[in-house]
Amino acid sequence: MPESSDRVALPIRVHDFLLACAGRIDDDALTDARELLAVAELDRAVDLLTASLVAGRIPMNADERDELRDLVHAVRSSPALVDRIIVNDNAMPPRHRFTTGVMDDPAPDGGVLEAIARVIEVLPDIRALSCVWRATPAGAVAGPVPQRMVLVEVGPDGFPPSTSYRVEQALRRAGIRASVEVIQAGTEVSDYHQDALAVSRRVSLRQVTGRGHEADGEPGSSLFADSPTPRSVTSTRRRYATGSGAHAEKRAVADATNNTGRWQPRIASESSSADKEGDSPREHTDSARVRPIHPEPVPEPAAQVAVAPVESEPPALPPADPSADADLSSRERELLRQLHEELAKREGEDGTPAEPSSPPGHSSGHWSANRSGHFSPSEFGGPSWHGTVEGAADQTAVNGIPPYGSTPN
Amino acid sequence: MGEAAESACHELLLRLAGRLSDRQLWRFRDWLASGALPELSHVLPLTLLRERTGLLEDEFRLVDVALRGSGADMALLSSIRELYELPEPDHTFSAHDSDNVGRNSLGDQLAVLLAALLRGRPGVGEVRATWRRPRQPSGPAGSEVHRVLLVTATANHAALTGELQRVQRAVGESDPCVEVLPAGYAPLPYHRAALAASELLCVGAEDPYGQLVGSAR
Repeated sequence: MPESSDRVALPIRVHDFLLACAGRIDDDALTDARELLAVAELDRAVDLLTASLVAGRIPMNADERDELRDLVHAVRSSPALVDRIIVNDNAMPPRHRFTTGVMDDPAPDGGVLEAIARVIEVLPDIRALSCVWRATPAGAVAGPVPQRMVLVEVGPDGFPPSTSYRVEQALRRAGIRASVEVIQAGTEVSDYHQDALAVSRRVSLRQVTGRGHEADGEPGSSLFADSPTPRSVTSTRRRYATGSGAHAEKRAVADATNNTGRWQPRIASESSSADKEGDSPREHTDSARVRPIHPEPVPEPAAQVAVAPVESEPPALPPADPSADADLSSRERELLRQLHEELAKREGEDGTPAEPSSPPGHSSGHWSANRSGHFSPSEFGGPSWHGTVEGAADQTAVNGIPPYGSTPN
Repeated sequence: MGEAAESACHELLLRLAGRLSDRQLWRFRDWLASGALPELSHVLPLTLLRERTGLLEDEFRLVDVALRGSGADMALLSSIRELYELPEPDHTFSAHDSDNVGRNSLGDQLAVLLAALLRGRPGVGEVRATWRRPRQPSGPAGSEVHRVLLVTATANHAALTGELQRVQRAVGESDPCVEVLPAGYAPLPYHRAALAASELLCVGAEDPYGQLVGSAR
């Protein structure tokens, strides 16, 4: 994979490889590797992953082994570690069952949003959130089931490794044990994640302060469906085949409106090209196992997944102080929200145009494609980094803190 | 994997209880039980260095026997600092978990499970358990209290450790603390304190009053 190595940031390649291993190694190994990745200990992340694969006697296909060898080389670890990986091109990844529970079973999304609201608020480009229980054990050293899975979709300005780590930490702090799978829009989604998404419960992000631009609402606009529809693995493949046209159409719109993709085209895109051109048996096998969300490489799949018709409700407001304590209670958040609403109302009475109850773009259903319609905190004396998408790459707030020297609009 | 190397590695990992995190330790022990000594030989020295964990002189000998033959980087091993004595354990132990009565208020499921697995098993002596808590808690009350299993055995120590860890994980202990003590093992302060505050859960086929350390106290 020399070409992809040149074009894709190493942490993202490791993140993608961890996604490919999800459901095959135990959830704690994944979580630990993601933590090491997020804290910039890539060599330890790759070592942990490799040793877990060897110890668990988990087979990989030759392409996966080669990619792992590249990663080991890239982090300057010992190449000998990869030699003991079991290679089997015919081995099928384990099938898993997912559920949202029945009757009085606890909901998979119970307490999740409250636990991670602050993280969602401060990390960039988190677009959708879904939760589901996995009913089957994963890996050789499986933990108990059901295992809660939290699936997060981020846009091109998002940071998948950081998002995965921060969300998992926030959940852990709240006493919620979960696997956090962060998928970047426009990338391939494995059968494992497709199966999970197909039955998962979508969590609305609108109630999170400062999240007026989430991508939910329009069916097909996101990787994450609104309505869980249990289906078999094979039916998933057909569903995506028929839906590719819609994706392509939206992508054309997005390409014209968005230019802030942070990451370079990824392995996923490259292998999609290979699938079209290649005719070797291995390429065929791989393409059957991992499907692209889009039929072609998508260099900058940005705002198309953020299309969201917004209900007629007051826009979610960001906190007055973005560096506030991340552990605000829900009651404190509610008080904060009421305070912002009151401020907005007073400004409106003073003649200053207040934020409309329905954000611009509502009628077209495409308001999120252009974030200029968002509530602007600067109108209320607050920070301005939640503003327009233009220049977002340069103006990205770090943990909700604006770039040094930036001035409110 | 040579038997001597496996045995030395098991004892090394045993002696690191309370010095490396539970999360690292159970995984290393699982790798050993799974025959992944080459991988462990690469990762363990790095972990000791990154965590600034020192070793006693005896433990360097164990490192040499356990890891050198599997390709451990001798330059890295040379950077591990030497300890001349171990500090007091960072944990205290008690036979009963008085702060978390809810965990076993409806019955000790783990004891039932272990009895089903280990009662009368060849090579296994005493199976004991103790509750461990940090001397200086940093998290919510009770969240840092863990149950530590202490099993005396005459053979297959690494495999038995791996098996019991997997059982514990399956019933919800994400970072299991399983200490399989070989016959003749001279316990460090961590294990001495744990044994002193443990309760007997069941007994295997081996004579618990023979050479095994659990009964030699």
